Amino acid sequence: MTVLTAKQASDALSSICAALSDVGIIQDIGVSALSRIAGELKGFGNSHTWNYEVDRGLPILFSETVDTNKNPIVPKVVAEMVAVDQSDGVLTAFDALCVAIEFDHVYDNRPTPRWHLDMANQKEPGNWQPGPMTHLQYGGHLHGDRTLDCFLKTPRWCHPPMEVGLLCEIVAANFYEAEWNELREMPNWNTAICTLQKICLHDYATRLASTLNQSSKSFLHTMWAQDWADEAAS
Amino acid sequence: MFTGIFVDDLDEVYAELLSDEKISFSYQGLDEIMELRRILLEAKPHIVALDYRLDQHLAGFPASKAFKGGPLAQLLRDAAIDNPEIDFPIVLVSSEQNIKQRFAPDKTAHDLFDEVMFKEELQASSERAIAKMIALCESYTALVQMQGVYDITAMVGLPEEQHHVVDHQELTEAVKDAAAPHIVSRILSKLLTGRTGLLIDDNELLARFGVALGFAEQAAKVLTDQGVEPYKGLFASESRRWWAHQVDAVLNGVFGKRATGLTSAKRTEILNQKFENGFAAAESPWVVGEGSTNELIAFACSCCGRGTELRHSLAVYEPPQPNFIVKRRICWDCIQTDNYKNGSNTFEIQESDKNLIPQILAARQ
Repeated sequence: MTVLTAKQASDALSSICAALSDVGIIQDIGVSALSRIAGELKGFGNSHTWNYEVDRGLPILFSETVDTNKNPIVPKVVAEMVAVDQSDGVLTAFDALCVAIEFDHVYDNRPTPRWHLDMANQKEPGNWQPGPMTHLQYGGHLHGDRTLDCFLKTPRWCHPPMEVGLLCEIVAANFYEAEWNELREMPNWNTAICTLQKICLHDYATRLASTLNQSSKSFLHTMWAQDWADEAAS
Repeated sequence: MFTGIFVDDLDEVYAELLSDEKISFSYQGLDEIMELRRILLEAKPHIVALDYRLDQHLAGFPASKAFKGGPLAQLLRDAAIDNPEIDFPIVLVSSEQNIKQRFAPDKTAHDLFDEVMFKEELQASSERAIAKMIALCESYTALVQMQGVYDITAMVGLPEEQHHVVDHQELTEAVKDAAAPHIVSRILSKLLTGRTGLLIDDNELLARFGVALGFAEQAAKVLTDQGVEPYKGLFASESRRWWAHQVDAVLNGVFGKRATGLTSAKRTEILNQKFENGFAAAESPWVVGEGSTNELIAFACSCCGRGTELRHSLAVYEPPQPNFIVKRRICWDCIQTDNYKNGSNTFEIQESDKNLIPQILAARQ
């Protein structure tokens, strides 16, 4: 597996920030947030472990666009925690991961559309939360009012881990397709995204590939947190 | 003792007002512009203060040869480009009316001055002005001693392990290529000491703490007790600044996560438990009643200075800036009250946010 340094991840996030700014789909607050993270990662130097947070007070905020009904929406990316640890012997490149794409409504109190990607919790040593090791879930809440949460948060969809740079690409591709087509032509954008993919996709893809040539265990079963952890420990 | 020259067509008194035991200003009256240039350069002062309107009280001086402070400052700056070792700070000292009505629109002259001061404020109290003048003299002296080898890391007073914080091409390259100390001064003012970004002022500090204005000294004590000192690099002044990354690190330790992801009420509760400083929570300038401290106060409104939250603020229009500069925002309260248009500083709202203004004017929580 290719091991990244924090400095390389910092450079990748700086490039993503500059490219999003160049095509005009990120707000200044978002630029500040990405720039701050890149600065923090730079401080980790050549370390293979780092962590950062993107709080809801200062999120990676994108420009206003419209949904399919022409209603205004403002996508944002937040991260309760991204903790990368590429040491040997850890399950994935992430020690902790909880990132989300969400939308605030300014003038009404409908539940906040929110998709979050995180890792299964270890309830106690060796005892993992039911679900895939890294998974995508729908659900969230409007700031300050949990009564508006969506009532159902399952299923946990099996999904590769993603850090905020890759979430930015998801937002760009889904909500600003014309600009994403421009981004895809930018070498620095592609290099940055591909750099971050390495830490996100390697373990997941290796495990996925291992399921294709056997018939004793489903893909979901292979990715189930308890099974993944037990296998790694054995 | 630093020596300064105050150039004015009338008010000799300011030379005296700007002097104390550390700095001594002498008065220089009007003369032909090239002669004034010669007098000032030959005197080798540490600092020069100019009135903007040198053409108001001519007292026999030919009107055809009258000039303003800008052209004289330009001549002095040109001389410093050729001989950086003689460079000195130039401060504009003029009446509030002249600065607002005459100097403010003269954008080409803005970059010529290190500082702009109102005469009226000097009359009320010259202490702060003198402190600023001395700080400028000290910084220029340090820059002159660098003999043209300008390295940003040698200017900002950060320990070596934190030098990466100022490793931004816009800063490092601009400083490295500077032809004279006054160019470095302008770069640091625009990208470091004069803007929220790598450094933050007390209002931003309080917003990150999530506490009300008026608790700056208590917040400063929390930081200094944790070993964090105010910015002490070049062009530090009595307007205290803090390194944003150092503040964030302390607050991450206090809260166990980024401060601005917690409501101001929660932050204040934790701060008071840990430090017993009697902090009051910052209230949203927009939300009234019980919910006013249940907001994610994240930055200071550029207009009123109160801590405010992203969802009740608008972006200010600004020309493109480096990414490490935090762009200005205005709270909805200043929008609704027109404070952003009528206050001492006025702001233009960014085009993409202007569509919200009618709704803000019509609404009030």
